[in-house]
Amino acid sequence: MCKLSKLMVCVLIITGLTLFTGCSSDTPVDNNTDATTDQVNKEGTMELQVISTEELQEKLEDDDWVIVDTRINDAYNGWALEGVTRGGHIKSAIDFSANWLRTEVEDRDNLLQEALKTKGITADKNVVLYDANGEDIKIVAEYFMQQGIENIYSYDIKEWAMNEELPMESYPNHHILVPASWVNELIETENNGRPYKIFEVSWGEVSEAYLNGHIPGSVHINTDDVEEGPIWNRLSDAELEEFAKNYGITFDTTVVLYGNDSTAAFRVATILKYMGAEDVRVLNGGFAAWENGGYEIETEEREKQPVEAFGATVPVNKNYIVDLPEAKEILADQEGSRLVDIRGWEEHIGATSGYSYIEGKGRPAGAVWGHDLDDYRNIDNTMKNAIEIKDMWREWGIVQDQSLSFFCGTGWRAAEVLIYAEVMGLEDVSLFDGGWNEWQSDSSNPVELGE
Amino acid sequence: MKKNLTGIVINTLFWLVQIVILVGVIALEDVAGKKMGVLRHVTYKKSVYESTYFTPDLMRLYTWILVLLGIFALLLSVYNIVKGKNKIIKRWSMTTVAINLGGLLYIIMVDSQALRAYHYFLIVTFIIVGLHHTRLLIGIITFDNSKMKKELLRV
Repeated sequence: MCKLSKLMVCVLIITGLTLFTGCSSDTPVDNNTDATTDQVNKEGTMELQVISTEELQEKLEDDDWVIVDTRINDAYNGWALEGVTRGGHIKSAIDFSANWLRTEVEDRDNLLQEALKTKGITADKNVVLYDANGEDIKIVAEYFMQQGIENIYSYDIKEWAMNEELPMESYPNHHILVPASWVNELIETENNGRPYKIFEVSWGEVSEAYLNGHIPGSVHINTDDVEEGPIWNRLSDAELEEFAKNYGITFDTTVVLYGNDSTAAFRVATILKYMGAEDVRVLNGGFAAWENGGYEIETEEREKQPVEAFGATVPVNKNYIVDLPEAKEILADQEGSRLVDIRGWEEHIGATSGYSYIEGKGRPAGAVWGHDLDDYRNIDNTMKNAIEIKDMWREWGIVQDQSLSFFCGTGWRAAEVLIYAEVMGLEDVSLFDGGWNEWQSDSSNPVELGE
Repeated sequence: MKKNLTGIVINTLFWLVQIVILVGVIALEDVAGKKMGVLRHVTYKKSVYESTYFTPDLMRLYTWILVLLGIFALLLSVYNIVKGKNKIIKRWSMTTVAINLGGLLYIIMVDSQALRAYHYFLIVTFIIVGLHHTRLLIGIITFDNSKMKKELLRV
């Protein structure tokens, strides 16, 4: 009986000490006690262990630590948002946006699991989550804990950004992909008096989706106004100039493009850049990003406001879009250039053409696989991070100092990847407009099948 | 009564087939304006047909064939009216002339760019014209058989 009493006293002392140390919010970062117990207090709210800037600096190169940016993709890419003084992400940080957990898509759980795996976020790692609003971290931490990731620490990126000496990374051309807040500001400030236009881009006449709600002032662009069948290449330069005039676009107009599915917007963006439009932007994440931001939506159909002239001789950037002869030259120069196939694996190996209106199967002989568009997008349809894109490319022998020309079936998917490559800072990149559709239409063009 | 019913069924099916394929192609035209994939499919088929079955030379040939068939059906119709011959052949030949004329007008009047599924309409037109001429031909051959003639007259 006496022994039993002593044992119980010991157990109570140990339990008491454990609880005492666990309740401190200033727990040192190397204390890896049961994080779940630490992180959810009696009221059920989350209290994560806070890591200091000095401690975080020490962990940047530590393989046991993963630094995760939980903000929206635009902030990671380079935009200074939510009062952060510098844009971009902490050097070597990866992204896992809270927005992904707010997004309802089919097969979401598997996609998120896949993202965790790809980014190396595992239960054996110490994970530092950072945000700028104090909300994103909570959402991501809750999800991580459900996945069995327990050693989670929180950090406020504003502190890091304030110190100019601390390393941050941004994509060189992140400004091409814009956040909804930037578009809202553009509208509110009326671009400070400079010309600007916002377009909802999709195929066909004004759609039900547009009429149900669009960004205030945005005009619908039908993609048939910039391309024509049966190859679906861009229109002639003279016709494109007419298109621009008709839609009120001059070379110095700030053009913002978006859609429910952004692929069409990227297609028009590449054509406008080819023409010589100097400031073309695409809303990152499409219309959903605008809706989720809670910004105003209008249902009134807006009319085009034509202008007299585009103001530049089309095309200003001739090499931005290449055609069949140039594609053959690219294939002939395997050392310095790559023709990159942005289609599904089944399309690449010739198991399917992927289209009811394309009969030929396979790929241009010598083209390399660059993954399908889905592999370039996050769950919320924003751009995947550059580290992962480069890893995908490296696997197939695509390196960024080569001249890269992207193609797909008819130039839509490849257009999006082209813009992403430009965002990442690649300079020698282009779109092979005709893509597989044009290549296979001439039986004398060499074709490869299989792996 | 049983044979009469058979005649009604055959006649109904004859018109039903035409209505179904015509409605089908009208639906295709409509969907091509709503779905990008369908539009691209018909656009591709248009380019294929324009270089194979519906080249300008072949279109001229088809037009002449329709003109000749139309004249034949018209003469047959006039002959039946003047001579007061078989009522069924008279009715069928007049219908065939009308359908034939409709087919000709479609080829001559409708621009191939005006309809997304232009060539599908063309195919359907040829099928319908062909069906009517076939029915007329079968009628001419078989109406010497007085039994069938009586049965069909009841229809």
